[in-house]
Amino acid sequence: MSKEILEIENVSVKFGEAMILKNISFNVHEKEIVGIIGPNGCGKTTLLNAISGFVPLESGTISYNGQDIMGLPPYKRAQLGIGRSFQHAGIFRDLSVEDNIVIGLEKAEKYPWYWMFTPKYRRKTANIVKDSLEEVDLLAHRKSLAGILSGGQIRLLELARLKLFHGNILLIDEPTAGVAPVLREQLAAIIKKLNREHDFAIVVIEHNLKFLFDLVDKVVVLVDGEKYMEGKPEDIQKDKRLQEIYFGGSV
Amino acid sequence: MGYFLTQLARLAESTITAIGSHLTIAVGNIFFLGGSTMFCFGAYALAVSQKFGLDPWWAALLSIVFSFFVSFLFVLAYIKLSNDSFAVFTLSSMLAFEALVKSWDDVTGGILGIAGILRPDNLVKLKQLVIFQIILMVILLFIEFVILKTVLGRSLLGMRESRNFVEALGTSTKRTGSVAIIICCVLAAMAGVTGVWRIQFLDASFGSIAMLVQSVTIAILAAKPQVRWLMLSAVFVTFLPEFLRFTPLPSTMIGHLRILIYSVLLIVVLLTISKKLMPQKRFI
Repeated sequence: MSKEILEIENVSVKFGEAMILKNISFNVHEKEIVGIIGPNGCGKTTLLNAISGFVPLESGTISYNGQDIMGLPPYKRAQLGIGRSFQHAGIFRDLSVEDNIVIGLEKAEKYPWYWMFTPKYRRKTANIVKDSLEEVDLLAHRKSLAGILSGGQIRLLELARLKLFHGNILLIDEPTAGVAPVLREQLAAIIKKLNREHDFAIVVIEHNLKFLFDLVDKVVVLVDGEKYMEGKPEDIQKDKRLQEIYFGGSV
Repeated sequence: MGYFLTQLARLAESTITAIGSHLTIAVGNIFFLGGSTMFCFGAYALAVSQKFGLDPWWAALLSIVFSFFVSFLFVLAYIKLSNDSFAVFTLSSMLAFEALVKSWDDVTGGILGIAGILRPDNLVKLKQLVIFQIILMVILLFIEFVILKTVLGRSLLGMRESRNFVEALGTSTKRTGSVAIIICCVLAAMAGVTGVWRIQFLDASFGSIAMLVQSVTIAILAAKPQVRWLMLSAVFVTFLPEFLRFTPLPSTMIGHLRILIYSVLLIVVLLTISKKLMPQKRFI
């Protein structure tokens, strides 16, 4: 069994009087892809926000590589190696496509502040940007504002930036939201590549169940802020009660 | 010639102050309104140092060093307070500073102010001072241009849209915002130093609300994170009220009308074009 890199134990999150997450526990192993599913409002994104440090926990613990990360702000968790993509794509629409890669690269590679005045760094950056954008077919848009890209292209750009991340886990929130069906296969291929070639463990939230079941090793089902079940995709699909109460009869 | 030089000097002073506001408000979306406080602080630190016999250049240096340290008060507030409370805190800092200089007669001269502030030997003539101010303005604009190309600039630009997105990349938005606030404070103090050398007199009315409204208007009008927009905005806002001089209005009214024009302009800018120029805030 590979090493556990993320341990979530009895995590509860409260907003005002409302309990959004109740005693959620699961683990993520090295190079594993874990899918999180559940009806709207069941707390999927809140769970990722809790892992990233954007929402405080009411109770429970979160450990990353054996280290308790509860007291760390989001940027420290990112520096430790927890990468994140967002439901509405964490791309800066007012920056150019190229700058969206560079803003991730200069942090990931710990560039000095004066790097842009140094030919060595400029060459290195130009090559990485070119390779990253080529891989997601966005090289032609290099100088355009990211805001003019389509929903699918924005997702591709976000994943291209995540690839540069120096860590071993990525939290990806609804990668196919607002993406044309034709681009979904490309997105799935990139996520698989991030996992297989770049050795990232991935926690992915997704409503498109076919997309998710083809991708993941394990599924965690949340219902009303509680973990309903956890298991392999094929086991989840077989669960009769789940089909009835959540999938409306069949998957 | 004197009028022309004075206008150029005003342009340089308001542009230098607005560079900081541009970095914080327009680029980083940090509603820092303490620029005019630091403009006055820089001027007072210089005037008081000179009053105690320090050479003008050394006094200027001391003023900037003091301003750097005082800026940490704003940094502390930025780290501890919510966005809205921080804006109110920075705004009220100006009123607090004004009350302090009015009441601390021994050092600041109270409501009578400090007269006879000397210019450095090599900037005695107004023309020399204005050339110095313009050169300083160009250098500082270039520095802002460079900052916008650095990690700091890109992080600030990212913060305009979402602090969470920036944090998720491993950048501390508190540290980034703090650096922008310190730069803003130091630049405002520099503008205050050159401003007080120009008029050679200082009282509690120096800077105050007029400078605040003017620099914020310039920064918001230049909402695009580009230095050329800031320069265009500074020229427009500084020279706009000058048409009043060609009207038969008494000169005492012109000062008040200038503030009125800036305020109306600020409201118009906020209600109309700022929404189109500033990016939409994004949530996770």
